[in-house]
Amino acid sequence: MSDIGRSPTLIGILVGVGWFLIYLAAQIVLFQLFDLRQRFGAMVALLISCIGLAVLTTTVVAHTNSLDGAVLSAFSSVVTMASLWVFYMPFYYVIATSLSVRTLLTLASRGDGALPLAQLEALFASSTMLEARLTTMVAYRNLAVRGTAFTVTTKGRITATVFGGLKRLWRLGPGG
Amino acid sequence: MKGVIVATAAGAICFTVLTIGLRALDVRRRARFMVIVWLLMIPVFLTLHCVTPANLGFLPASLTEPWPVADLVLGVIAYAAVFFGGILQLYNLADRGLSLRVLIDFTTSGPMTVDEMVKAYSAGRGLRWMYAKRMEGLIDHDLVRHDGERVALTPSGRRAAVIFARLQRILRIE
Repeated sequence: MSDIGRSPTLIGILVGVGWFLIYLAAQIVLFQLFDLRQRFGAMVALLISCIGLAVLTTTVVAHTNSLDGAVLSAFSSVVTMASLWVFYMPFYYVIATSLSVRTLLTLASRGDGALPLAQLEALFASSTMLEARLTTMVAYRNLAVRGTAFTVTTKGRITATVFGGLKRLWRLGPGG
Repeated sequence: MKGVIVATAAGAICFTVLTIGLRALDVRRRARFMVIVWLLMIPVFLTLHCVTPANLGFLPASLTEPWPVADLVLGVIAYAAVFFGGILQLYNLADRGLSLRVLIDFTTSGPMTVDEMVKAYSAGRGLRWMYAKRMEGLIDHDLVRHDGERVALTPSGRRAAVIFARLQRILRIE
């Protein structure tokens, strides 16, 4: 058991899990207290801060316990946190942006939990919905506005080209 | 460290196998197919981890874990992250991402107004097609059902909505 307690990787994993839970709590507090415009940027900045503190924690634990493998312990904490974050982010975006989730919530807000399909389409397959999405994409510099028209930026074009290549590689068809 | 390197190698093998599968076979439920390939690759990952030396022949002692089980646990975390946070998300974005599809449509068709994009979305399929696809998914998962011209929540859809509403409140998503 004492050998297990001296495993640098295990210490790194446990520290990584601990700091990731702190990251989640800090994110909730941050979002509750401030009305952030660029939430993704805030989440990345918060994650980097927590990763830095996790590395510091593993270093302190290694030194106070005269443990070999401080680098391995720090590396393990970073891998653990990065892995948990890539699990978490798709989940966050489903809650935040998914049209399917918004459809369920819209239906639930009605007493009988039902709406005509045409009314749902007016909400989620309309020019108003699309304009809101395009405006967000302009804020993230993937699109630019020229008069009444939208056009793709260099950043957006690179993303489109990379994913277009992946779609061809996997024969996905147009999709969307 | 070894576990993460082996997980990366196993992830690359998984990507190659599923790419060959998607190109060679007419796969209808692609996400399910990808998960099956990932599951089938787990024995490959475990075998690679078991048969290779702790230092992989090149890692310094400072990066070699003395307790193999801890290294394997980190490897499993990394292998799962490579797939569920990497490969599967790439697929979801490429096949279902609305913003990505918009970017591709703008790239191929040039500048457009909002109303033009409503019709041109997904190489001319239009936004209604996109929403019909989402609706089909909700029906397949028994979250909603058609009730004549209306769409109604099923009991499981109502439960899911309660959970999502709570999560949105916690994360202050409006």
